[in-house]
Amino acid sequence: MKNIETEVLVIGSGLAGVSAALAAKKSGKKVMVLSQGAAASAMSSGALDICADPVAVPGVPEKWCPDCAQNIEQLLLRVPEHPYRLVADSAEKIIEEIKSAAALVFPGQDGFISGDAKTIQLAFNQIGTFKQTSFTQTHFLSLEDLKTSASVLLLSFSGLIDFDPGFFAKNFLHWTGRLGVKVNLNQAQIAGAGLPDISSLQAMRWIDENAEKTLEAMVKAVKANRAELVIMPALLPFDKRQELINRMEKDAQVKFRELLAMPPSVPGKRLSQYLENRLNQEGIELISGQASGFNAEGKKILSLLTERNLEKVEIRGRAFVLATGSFLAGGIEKHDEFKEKLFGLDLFCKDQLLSKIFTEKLTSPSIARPHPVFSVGLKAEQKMRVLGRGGETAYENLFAAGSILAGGNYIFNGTGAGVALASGVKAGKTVSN
Amino acid sequence: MSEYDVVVVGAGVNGTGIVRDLALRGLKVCLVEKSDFASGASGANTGMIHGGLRYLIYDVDTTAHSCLDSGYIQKIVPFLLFRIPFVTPIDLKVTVPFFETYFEVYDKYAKLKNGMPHTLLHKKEIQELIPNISEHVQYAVTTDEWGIDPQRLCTLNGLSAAACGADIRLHTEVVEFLKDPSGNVVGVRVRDRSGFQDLRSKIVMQATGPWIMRTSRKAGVDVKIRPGKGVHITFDRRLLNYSLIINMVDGRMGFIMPHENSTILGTTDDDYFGDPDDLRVTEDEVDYLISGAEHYLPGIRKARMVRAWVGIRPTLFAWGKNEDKLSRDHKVFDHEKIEGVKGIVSIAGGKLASYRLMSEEAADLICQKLGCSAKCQTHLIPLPGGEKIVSDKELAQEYGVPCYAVHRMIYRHGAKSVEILELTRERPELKQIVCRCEPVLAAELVWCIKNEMASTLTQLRNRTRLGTGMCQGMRCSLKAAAILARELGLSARDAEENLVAFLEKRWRGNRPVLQGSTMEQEELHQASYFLVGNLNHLLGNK
Repeated sequence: MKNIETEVLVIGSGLAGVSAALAAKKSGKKVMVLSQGAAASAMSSGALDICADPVAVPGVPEKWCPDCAQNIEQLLLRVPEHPYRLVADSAEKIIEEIKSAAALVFPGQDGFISGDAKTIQLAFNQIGTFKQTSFTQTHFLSLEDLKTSASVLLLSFSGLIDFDPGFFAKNFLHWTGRLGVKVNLNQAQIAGAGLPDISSLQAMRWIDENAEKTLEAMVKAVKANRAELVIMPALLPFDKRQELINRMEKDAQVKFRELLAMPPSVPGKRLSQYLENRLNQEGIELISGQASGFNAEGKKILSLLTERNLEKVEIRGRAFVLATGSFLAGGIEKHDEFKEKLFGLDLFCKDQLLSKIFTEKLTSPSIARPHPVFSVGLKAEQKMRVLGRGGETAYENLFAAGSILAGGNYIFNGTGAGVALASGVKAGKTVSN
Repeated sequence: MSEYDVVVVGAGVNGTGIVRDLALRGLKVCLVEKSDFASGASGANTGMIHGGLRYLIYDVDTTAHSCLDSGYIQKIVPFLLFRIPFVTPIDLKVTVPFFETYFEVYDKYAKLKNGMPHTLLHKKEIQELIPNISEHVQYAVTTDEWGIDPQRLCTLNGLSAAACGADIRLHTEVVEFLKDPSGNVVGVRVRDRSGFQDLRSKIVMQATGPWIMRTSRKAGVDVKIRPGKGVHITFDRRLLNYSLIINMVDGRMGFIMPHENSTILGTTDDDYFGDPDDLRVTEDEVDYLISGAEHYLPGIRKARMVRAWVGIRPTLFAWGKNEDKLSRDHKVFDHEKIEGVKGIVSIAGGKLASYRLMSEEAADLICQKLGCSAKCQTHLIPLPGGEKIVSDKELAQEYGVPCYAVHRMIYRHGAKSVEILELTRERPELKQIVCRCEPVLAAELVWCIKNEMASTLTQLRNRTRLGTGMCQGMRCSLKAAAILARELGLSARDAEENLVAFLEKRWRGNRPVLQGSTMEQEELHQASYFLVGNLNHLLGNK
């Protein structure tokens, strides 16, 4: 058995986990992150949501409230158990917390994301529809881009299974029309790998290996079509993206934008890579492995057990942040019962303790309605310490952040990134005190 | 107003079987269906052309019919059937001789459908066949049955009828039966997307399965059934290669069987008094099935359930019998003789396995009424694609498509696969594999849209098993929606609504089995379509 010592151990390397780790590090602590691989962030579309307008009327998407603070206020009236409650006591303060968290995780100078914590923008995705969001990775298509450039070229990649240019164009023209923007859309295709079916990730790897060739084809297509704005499904690899975009915009005198992706997603890959780089930059050690158990003494967790290269490893720490996500990332699961996988913590939904309940009771008959099952998670107090069924502290040195917190339901509230950033940083700060 | 010899109502296996039979006899026929081929009981059964082994004791006629006709079905649609060897565990040693005798009797019938005679297995042999079987199973008997894709069977019958000149109208609902002054039925009033229409006919044939009491009331005739709810669960991939006959916790018989690329566990049988249009699987029904199966395959609770599905058996009415003991026999109702109402005939009850025979019986009665002397040919003329056997290897090589994809295509389309692959000569992009779970080529989707009356994603799913794998359409439904929109020239709104309707339909099957990896998949699925795609918000809830 190998022993490792740290002050703070963060479990989970998604946006919430990395936020917590960076915040704890900033407070001068020795921090390690334990990661079992792809987090839900690896499925990111490229958008980072803070809060969608909760009172927007379905079916009337052209009317929405762009003021994020107002949206959060409305949300908390409707979902009092939402984890934003733990972050701060007013919508303005919550926004401030998210803003400073975003500045910590995505420092301005490297230009990985763009957007504004206070305002909602409309961003377009690869099926030609749009959504409300606050931040996106840079160079993603928003409604504002279309207001200034009327002549648009859609670049597709041949054989791409996850993207259909014809279907995109039809939907895109329909929805831009509804939003009152006139778009003149032309299409061109990059020959690429020449395979009949290729996924976004395969296309990304092909572009990575054939960057010059891709750039050449892109520039050529743009010049032939005389577009002001080029849009493309998100395929550019992390390392070469910025350079490709800069050269393309310069060589072809055009504005370049990508479209929000669906899984398997290239923006997700890029976000994971970015977060890993941030940990490296700050000298935070990333340990790969699945937590297999823990040691505790009374109400205090002493260490976490994992395995690395077939060797058992015990990581001792003073404080632990649980940022293992919801069902998708594997923080919680449902078999016979709902279960938090690592510590067996109590799970809640709408402030009710869950145990052996039929999942059906936590879902709606219609898929398009919110399903409480995606709100299931841990209850925590203002310091992000995990609580048990009686409101008592589960373990005095165990904190939680991100989508493992109960009440979030990021799918319907559009609060995923906001919760991850703010709760992560808050947990990272409190463990340091 | 249109004039027909016969209007058949309902495109289940009876409706399509009858309409094909009548069309082959040269009559002018029309089939009206409010939804799609096999959208009721015919599409929600275990998918077996079996001999009715369990009816042997109290219902030997059903066994005999099933076996005889199963042989015919193999001849007319050879590509669509696959052999499923069955293993029936024997719980008590003292009952071994009883089972031996029982199966000896069954062997006589099994021959009719090319089934091999039974064998008695001992523990060691059983464990070699099914390594994950429970330790307590000491003895077992094998039999042979045949599996079939019931959706394809109905579709092919419908297409065959259409090729003989029958009018097939899907998404067309009967709203009223037309009557003459003396109360005899002279046709139906139907409603489809374009509005109302009267279809006049000499005979109206009701083959509406679970809906038959409802349609009979409209027609003013009396057909009584004991509707029974049957639930199945589909597991990802094959958990075993032999079908296992099991006893449920209450002693009822059930199956765990490998079916195409998945495993099916079924079924429940409960009296159902609810709305046949609003069927839901409840989680306790799922648990009932799992609890039974667990006794034989202890690990099954951990296996990945991908969906649950439900249908209503239109069993013939009987008073005072347990659901399980109800006869699976069928009946053709001649309402002229029963109630004195002319112009209408009904069919109810029966098994998928003997559909062709039942259709023949109904068609004979209709022909007798119409004075038509043509004979039934449905057991002689192959269904579309059954004309000859084609080789997956050769086709894969010729068209440059993966062999496993061609293999699956041939399973669904038989010799028609050549015509489907021919589409890729002019449009090589149709070689794209849209659904990787199954797999399904783009060419097959285009073919189904053009030649198999598929106009919605749900219909594409029924025709091809698109999106029935473990991801439940997460990746393929967008691409399929795009193909559908392009081929039919749908507007953006229509295409997106079609997609949401498909997701909604899918949800009905996933909701009762949300656990383990299926729950993870569901979270990703909903995040993709609703959080990123924003479809629920853009289109609004209905």
